[in-house]
Amino acid sequence: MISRLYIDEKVKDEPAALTIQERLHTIPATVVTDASRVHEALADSTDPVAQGKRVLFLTRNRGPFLRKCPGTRSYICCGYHILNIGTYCTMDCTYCILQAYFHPPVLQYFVNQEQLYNELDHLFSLKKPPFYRVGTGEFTDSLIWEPWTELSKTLIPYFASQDRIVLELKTKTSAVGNLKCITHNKKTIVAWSLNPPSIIRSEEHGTASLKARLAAAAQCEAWGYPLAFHFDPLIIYKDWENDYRQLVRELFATVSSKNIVWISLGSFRFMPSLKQIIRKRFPKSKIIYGEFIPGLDNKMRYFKPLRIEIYKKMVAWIKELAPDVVVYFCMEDEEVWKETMGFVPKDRGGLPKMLDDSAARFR
Amino acid sequence: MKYDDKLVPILEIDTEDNMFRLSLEPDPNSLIAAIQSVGLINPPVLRQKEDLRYRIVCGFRRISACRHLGWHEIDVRLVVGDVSELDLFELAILDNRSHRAISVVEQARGIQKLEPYIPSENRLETLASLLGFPVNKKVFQKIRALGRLPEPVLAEVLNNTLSFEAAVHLCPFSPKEALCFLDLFKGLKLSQNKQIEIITLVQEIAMREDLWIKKVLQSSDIKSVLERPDLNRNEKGSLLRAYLKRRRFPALAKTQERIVKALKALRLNEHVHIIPPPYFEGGPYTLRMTFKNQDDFSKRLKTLDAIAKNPDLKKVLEPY
Ligand code: SF4
Repeated sequence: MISRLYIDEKVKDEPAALTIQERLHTIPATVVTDASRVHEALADSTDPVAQGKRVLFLTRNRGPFLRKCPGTRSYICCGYHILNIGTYCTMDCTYCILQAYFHPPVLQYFVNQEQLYNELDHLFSLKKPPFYRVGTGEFTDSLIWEPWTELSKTLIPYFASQDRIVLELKTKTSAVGNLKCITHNKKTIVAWSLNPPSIIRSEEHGTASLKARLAAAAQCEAWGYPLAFHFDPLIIYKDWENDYRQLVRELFATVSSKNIVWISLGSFRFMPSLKQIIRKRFPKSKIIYGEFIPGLDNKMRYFKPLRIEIYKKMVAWIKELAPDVVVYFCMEDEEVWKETMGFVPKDRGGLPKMLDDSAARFR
Repeated sequence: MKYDDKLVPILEIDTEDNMFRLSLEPDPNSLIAAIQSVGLINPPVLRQKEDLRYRIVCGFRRISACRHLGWHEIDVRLVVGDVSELDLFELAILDNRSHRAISVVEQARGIQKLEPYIPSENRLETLASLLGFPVNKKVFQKIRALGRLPEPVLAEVLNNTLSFEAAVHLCPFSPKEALCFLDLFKGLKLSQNKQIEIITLVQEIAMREDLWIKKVLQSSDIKSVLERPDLNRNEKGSLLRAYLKRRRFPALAKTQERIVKALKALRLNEHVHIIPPPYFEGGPYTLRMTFKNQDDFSKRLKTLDAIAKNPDLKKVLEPY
């Protein structure tokens, strides 16, 4: 939980900053003239990565809110766009890339939201490209901010007002209360990252249980939202076959495949610098001791035949219960696609098109 | 600081009290002959304790040598008056540094002993200037970590059996585990990077297979490598590393073995080489061909043509 609030002097009077301060009025707050004050406060901590999860810094986004997901040329990218509402996360997954991505990692929420909505207006007004997928869950979890910001209450209707762009809210929480009774026009996809309960227990600290995530998904389905699921990161361990198979069964026993826009599969991969962080912060975790090799993007990945094996099985289990659902890989190459799916995305117009088409079906 | 020069019975010196000792167990041998021939020129510095025995501040080796020579009494300089422990530590360190550079092991032990006395705000700078290491947080942390290692391991750092960086890698292990690694390294001749590689591989194998470090290090496969009389220490090191890599990365190792076999079946010669992409992750294969003249060039093309028709080429290009 948040134990300290810092507010960037330049944004202290922004409406979003005032609302959050009011909601967090019991927490000590300090107005700072620049971010280095916040960083200094974290640097003294014995575990700045953990401390950064308890310190909330309200500031402005100096860059654009909307940007293209960087992807890499070596693997097939889905052509996603990131809506950068804030950074970092209050939960604490062993494998979270954000631990190594920000220096130092700190919860930042961007309150200069006029700019955010201006950028959205501009995007909505464009005629090209015909479709667009935007997500808030790349540098943070999409729904952790809800208790203090209620962002979804504004963002979802905003996207509902147009027909060309979908918003994906990706989460490991069950914080969907604010999504009730909101006009969404099926332009918001609510998505969960899933892993078997044993992995959630050992590696996804502070996240909602599988049961709670699936119950939240069923709730959103009942409210008419399209859903998506991300089996990412897939982790290879002793009982992975049984556990993932059971997970797929539970998913389709809870929600209807008809309401699933897409399912992604991504095996655990990490920047080399994350290994030391995991070793230090989670000494009991074994996930970094798989057969990892340096990938073409310099991230560590499971040796390819191992990836292909887990993907093949996952695809088969999913297709057995949901033959029509769109399954795709996050950052894999043509060989993996061909071996596991029997086709490569470019045969079907490319991965971005496959996903755009799937999202466009939900009207 | 005030001193009393005094003759003190050796038995009244508490030689078990290591409070101000930075070096490992003192080896008096090098001093015995010198003291025997010219006497004790530079008297040790002592401080009287509450139990009235004497604590050594400087001169552990000198006192040890005198004991070996059977002396009963010894000239000392006794620190008197109100002097803090930190001042005495500084004296001990400066005495050491006055006649030689202090070792990294002594720096580690110095950090361990002095840290509690020095406020955290300027700890790094103060310790660095006292103990003679660079003012660098990373260096400081590494040297400090060494202080946790058992003495036999530290002794081998000084003997160069174990590199400084490898010793730092041993710091997270229990003393018993560190000693197991030490036993292994004593029987091998390895560069710093290879020592670190072995430590990492063993630790990761232990994690993967849910085994104690000791169990991995004492596995029969490792023993059989170490006990081979036909290999020198270098060869044993190479064989051990290869074994550990195979155990740590079994699927990759199997693929590599298959590829080696398939490449052999292609009957390449020393002029034509096929190099698979790193880790078979994707990316191009490399063909390397050498030739001296046009005739050579034509011969190589024939070899390439034969390779292209060889069904084993598929096994190389589709490794899994
Ligand atoms: S939920 Fe996502 S963002 Fe949060 S810690 Fe886990 S991986 Fe990181």
